[in-house]
Amino acid sequence: MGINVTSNDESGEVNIAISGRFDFSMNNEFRKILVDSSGTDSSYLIDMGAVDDLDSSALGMLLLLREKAGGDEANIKIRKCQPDIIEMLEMANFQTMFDIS
Amino acid sequence: MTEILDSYNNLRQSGPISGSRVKWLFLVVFLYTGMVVGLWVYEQYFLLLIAGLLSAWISAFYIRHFYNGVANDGEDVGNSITESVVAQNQRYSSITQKMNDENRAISEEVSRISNIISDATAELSTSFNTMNEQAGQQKQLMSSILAGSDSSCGDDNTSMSLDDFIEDTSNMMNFYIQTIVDTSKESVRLVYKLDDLCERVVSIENLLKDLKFISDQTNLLALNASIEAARAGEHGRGFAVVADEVRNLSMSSVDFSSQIHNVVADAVTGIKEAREVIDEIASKDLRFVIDAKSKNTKLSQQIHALQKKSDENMYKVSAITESIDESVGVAVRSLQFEDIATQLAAHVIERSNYMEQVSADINSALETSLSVKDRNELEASIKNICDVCDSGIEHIEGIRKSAVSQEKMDAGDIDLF
Repeated sequence: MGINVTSNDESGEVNIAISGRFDFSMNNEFRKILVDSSGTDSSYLIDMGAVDDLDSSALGMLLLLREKAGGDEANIKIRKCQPDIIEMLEMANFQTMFDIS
Repeated sequence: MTEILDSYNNLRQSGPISGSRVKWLFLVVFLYTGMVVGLWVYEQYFLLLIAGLLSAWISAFYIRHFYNGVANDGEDVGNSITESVVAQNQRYSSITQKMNDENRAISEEVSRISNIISDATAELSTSFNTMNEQAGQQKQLMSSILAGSDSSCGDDNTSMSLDDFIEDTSNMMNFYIQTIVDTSKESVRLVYKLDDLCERVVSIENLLKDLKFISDQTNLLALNASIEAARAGEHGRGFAVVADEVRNLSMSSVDFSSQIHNVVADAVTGIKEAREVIDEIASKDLRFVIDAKSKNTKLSQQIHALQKKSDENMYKVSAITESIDESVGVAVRSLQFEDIATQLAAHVIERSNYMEQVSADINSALETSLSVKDRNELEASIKNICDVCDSGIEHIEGIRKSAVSQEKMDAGDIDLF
């Protein structure tokens, strides 16, 4: 259970791999990502392959990241979501704010 | 008539002028003549005289008998014919009476048929008119239902359709989801701010450390000052008091420090508790909402499908109602057969009455013939009967001609009401 952050020096893209239950308990680790963000210069790839559940706090955190990374100009990709995770993201209308697949 | 002929023929066969009898007569006359000639030749004049007298008597006898017979036969034939005619007329009379009865029965039954038809068509007409009215009402209700399902159905200005309701519900759910997500986002942000606050508060501890160092040093200095004051003796007495006060100050500083430490600890605890509360606020399970939203979508689809089906059925019912209307119209028009039927029935009854009249006349003519006494009366009554029959035939021919103009009923010729 946790967040694993690596950054690709070539492309400058930050790779965030989340595993287990993505909820409020991850807020401390997530803060680090927010603090390290360089705003619109950062691009992120969030790997949700190992995420088995989401709650509203996870969605809140993703929105905070988007805000920090430039709002509408943010470049955030969310990948490898399981079907019910996608359902939740779509229900909150995240497909218009993030690049989801 | 054959009866009369039969009896006439019988008389001819058995009467004195029958064929075989004539033969015998000639034979006897021939022999008798022979005998007379013989007697005259043999000059037996006495025997001849007797033979002559005998022959005269026999002839007289025979002629009288013959004359009587003929008269009687004539009378017999006359009587026999009269009896036969009377018997015949009796038969005719009873037959015409029977036919009259049948006629009356026919007339009555036709009359009943006519009445039944009239009553039935009156009832049918009422029934069809009622059906027509009800079909019309049905149609109106259909129209209003159809109109209602398309747009608003309610009395006040804020009324809305089922579609609007479903859309509103969907929007409300989206709003709810947005609210939850936004709340979670702000809650996490709040938590981060509390973390910063916590850090600030905790950093007071470091300041307290410095403060402790200072008060410790102050204490030490005060101690040194006391020692120096004691060394200085009397001159140092004032200084010693000052040194003591400084020592007291540093003690209360330590005291304050520890109080501040407690306050900081409380603040940190408070912040930690706040974090827990925010944890709860921020962590909303969304699966419940997903279920609700998908149910809503399904419900919406079902309602739409139902509504479509309902509309289709309404249109079908509407069409059926129209065709009921038409069918009822056709039925009402075809009831007009009653007119022709009753007219025809009246005609049948009229003809039957004519026939009754004619046969009554014939019957009374026949009745008078039953009491004839002789040939003249018979002739008169037979002529009467013939006259009555002739006039009856004329009468019936007259009715026939007027009936030919009645045509068969044709739907096209009937006026629509």
